[in-house]
Amino acid sequence: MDTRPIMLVEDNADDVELTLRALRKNNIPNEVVVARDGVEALEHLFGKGTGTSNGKRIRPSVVLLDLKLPNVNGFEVLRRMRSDESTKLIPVVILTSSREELDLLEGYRLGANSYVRKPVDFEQFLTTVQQLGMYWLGLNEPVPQKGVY
Amino acid sequence: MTQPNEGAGNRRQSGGENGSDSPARGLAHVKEHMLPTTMWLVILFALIVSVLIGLVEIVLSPVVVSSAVFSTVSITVEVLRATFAFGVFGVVFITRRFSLDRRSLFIAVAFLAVGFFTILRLLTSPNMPSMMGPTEDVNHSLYFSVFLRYTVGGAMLISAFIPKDFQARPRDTACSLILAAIYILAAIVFIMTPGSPLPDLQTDAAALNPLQAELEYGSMVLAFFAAIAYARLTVAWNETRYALVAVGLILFAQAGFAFMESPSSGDMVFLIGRATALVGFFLVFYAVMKNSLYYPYLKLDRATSDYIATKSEVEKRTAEMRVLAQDLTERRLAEAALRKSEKNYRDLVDTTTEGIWKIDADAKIMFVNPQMAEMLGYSAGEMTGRLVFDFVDSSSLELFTKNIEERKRGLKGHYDMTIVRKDGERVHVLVSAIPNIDDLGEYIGSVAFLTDITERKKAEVALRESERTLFKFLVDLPVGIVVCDSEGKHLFANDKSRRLLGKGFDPQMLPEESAGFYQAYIAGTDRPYPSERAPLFRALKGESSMVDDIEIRRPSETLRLEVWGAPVLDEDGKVAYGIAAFQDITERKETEKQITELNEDLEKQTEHLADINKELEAFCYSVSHDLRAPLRSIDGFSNILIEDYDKILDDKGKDHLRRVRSNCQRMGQLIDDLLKLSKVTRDEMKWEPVDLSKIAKSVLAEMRKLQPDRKIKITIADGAHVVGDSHLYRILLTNLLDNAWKFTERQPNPVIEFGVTTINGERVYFVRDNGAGFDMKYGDKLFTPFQRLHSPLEFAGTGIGLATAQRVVRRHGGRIWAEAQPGKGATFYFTEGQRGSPERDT
Repeated sequence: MDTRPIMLVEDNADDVELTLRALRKNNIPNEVVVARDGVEALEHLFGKGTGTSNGKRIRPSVVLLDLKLPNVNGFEVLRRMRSDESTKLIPVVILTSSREELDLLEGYRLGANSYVRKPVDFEQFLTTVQQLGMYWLGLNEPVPQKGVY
Repeated sequence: MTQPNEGAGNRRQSGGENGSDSPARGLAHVKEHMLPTTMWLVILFALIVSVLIGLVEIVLSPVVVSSAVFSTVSITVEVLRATFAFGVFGVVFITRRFSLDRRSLFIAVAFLAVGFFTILRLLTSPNMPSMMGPTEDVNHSLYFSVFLRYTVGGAMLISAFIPKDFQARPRDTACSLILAAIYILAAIVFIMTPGSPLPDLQTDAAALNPLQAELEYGSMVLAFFAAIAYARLTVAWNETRYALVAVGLILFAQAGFAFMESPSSGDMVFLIGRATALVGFFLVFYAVMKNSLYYPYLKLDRATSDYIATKSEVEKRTAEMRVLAQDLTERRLAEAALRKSEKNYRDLVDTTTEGIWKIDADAKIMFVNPQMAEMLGYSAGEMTGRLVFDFVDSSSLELFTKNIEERKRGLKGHYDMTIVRKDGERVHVLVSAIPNIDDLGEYIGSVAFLTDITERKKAEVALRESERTLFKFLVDLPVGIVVCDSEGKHLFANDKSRRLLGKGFDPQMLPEESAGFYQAYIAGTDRPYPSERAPLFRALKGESSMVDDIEIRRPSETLRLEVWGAPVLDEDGKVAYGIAAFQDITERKETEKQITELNEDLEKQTEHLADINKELEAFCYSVSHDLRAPLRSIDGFSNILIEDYDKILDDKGKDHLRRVRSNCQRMGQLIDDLLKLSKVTRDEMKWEPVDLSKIAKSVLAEMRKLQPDRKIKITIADGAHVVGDSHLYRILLTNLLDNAWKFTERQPNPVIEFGVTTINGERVYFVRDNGAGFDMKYGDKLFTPFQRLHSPLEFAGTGIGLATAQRVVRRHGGRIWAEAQPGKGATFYFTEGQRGSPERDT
């Protein structure tokens, strides 16, 4: 089980609350680093500015990325991650309300590892989060740590 | 003497032909033939003369002449005799090449010997001075005389029996001469050698020695027989020459008588005998001369004359023949040329398409060719000999008569006239006539070539009619037409052009002046219309063109014209005419302007629509994002309340929260369906072959997977092929089949059918079920979004599925409709439509 923190990029406080609850309900013990917008997410990842991580760079086991973000949107965050050697191989799961084809295409094109739509039904959402955790933190073999970071 | 056989034969033959020579010979003919009786008479006459001479000699025997006279006469006679004897030889010898026969040769050499014997006798005569030995011996002279006489008599007798046609060869001449020489020498030796065995002949000067007398008689008999032989020849051959010889020999024989009568020399009888012998010799000489010289010359002369005559005759004949031949050749050539020429003319006359008649000075038909006869429906025989006026229609008689008069004056003519067929039908003909003038310049008739132009006339009339119609069309055409010649001079303008241009044309006007004349401007400017751009002007340069920017300005109005110009080319491809056609496009231009404006508006609207579409997209995007987020929150927190505050909330509160959550989910479903509908509307369409049967099977298979426990009888027709967007058709069939699936839930024996049928000749696809159905009075609301005919409690659904289905069909240009009865099921029909057809409102 990968114990590294999970990074949640989500501007909607309700969604943050519900997502955290879902993780908790599914007994996922990993620390969750929440970025309220794209800028904050990039600060966490590249250790710049005075974000919540106090200049400390975070290397999450997986990034749950919303697309509609203030300032720097999800695609931009993804693009920046994929263009930097240090963040290039971090698994990114786009977790969004949209199921627009264009968004799907753009997400995958920029190198997203997965695209998951947030269901309206909270129970379904719980199931979704559970499956995500099981997959990315358990089933999936992560990139060897020494390799690239 | 001899006569060459040919000459004699020829003459005899000629004599046989009534004794007259052919006129072609035309020669003076020597009369030398004698009748046999005449011959005999001549010979008889010679005998009588000889007897008379003998009588004279007897009478005169006593007469003695003087010794001087005797010697002179005697020597003269002997010399002459020798001369004649040598003459005989000389003549024959000299002419031997031309007429030598053996008889003549024999006589010649004999007379050579005779000549010598005569000379020798003379020289050995006792009266002569002693020149040759002992002249005292009178025997020498006498023996030479005997040899002479016997030689003559023997030779002549023998010669009479030599065949007359026995031709001598050159060798014979030489042999004869040698033999003669031997004979002479032998005689000389025999006589002159001393101690000759010859007995003396003159023992007594006054009397005749008996031996001498016997010898004399012998020689006389010999000569007489020779004469007889020649007389026979004369009669046999009817030749004068032989008669002469015979007579000569008789006289020669008679001379012997004289000698015997007067044995002593010196008397008169002796001289007469000598003279008689001389005459005999002369006659023989004459005969030989005649035979060897005269007749050959005569023959030659005749032959020459014949030759000359024949030659001239031949030349004359040759010349005549040549002339004749030339005449013949020329005539044949001329005839051949004539025949050929005639054939050519005949062919021409027979095969030409024109009718030909030939008339004489009295206007009577002398000849018509088959075409002429056929043109008039007569036979050639029927027409020949009749007056040509009989065949001319009364309407053309005056003209025709005038033309005949012109022919008489030697003039050619071309004219049209009408002739009448045998069946009375009129034939229009084109006539070319030429007068027929003889060598003296006299008019002897004329020849006319007639071409049937009835059809042409009809065609001309039709053409004129058609031209008139065409002209009327042109005049009445609702398009302005102006025509000018290659120089640019105006020839024609129809009524419409006058109305459009406001005036007619000035024939003298040049093309470059027309802009000013008609007040033509470039549309929208004040610049006169440049002539080099004007279509009529360009047409004259061979160019076809069209312009629509000409404005004609008049005080009352301004017209906008559209003008076409095109050249009319002649046979050589040069411009013969220029044509311009034009019409008033003022209104059209106005309309065009309006259309342009409308188009601009439309473009603006389209842009506007595009903007709206973009906004719609943005709206949809935000709907999918932003409208769902609150729902999730509501649902999520309601869930939290139910879970975390389970003890605080009473059952009613929990029930309310469950209702909140249920509505949230429904709202989420609505949003999703709305997005689908919007997507169906917005997505770009692809056109490709689509197998609806296959899609229907696939969709139902998925449904079966979701609800495997439902037992539904499904019928899917094969081969429902359409052209369209496969993704959209999938959405369509999913919605329709989903409906059917859903509304047959309560049917104990559910049946769903997808099929194809034909309604009013149109191919229609349908999805049929035996489910709940619906009341047709709500049918028109069926495809409206969110419109539901059943309560959500009965059948789940958002009411957007059929709206989406309709959207798909309409995007393909097809129609969709439904037929249903409550409780008995529903059938949804749709048509295929096709690419480019307008979307329809159903």
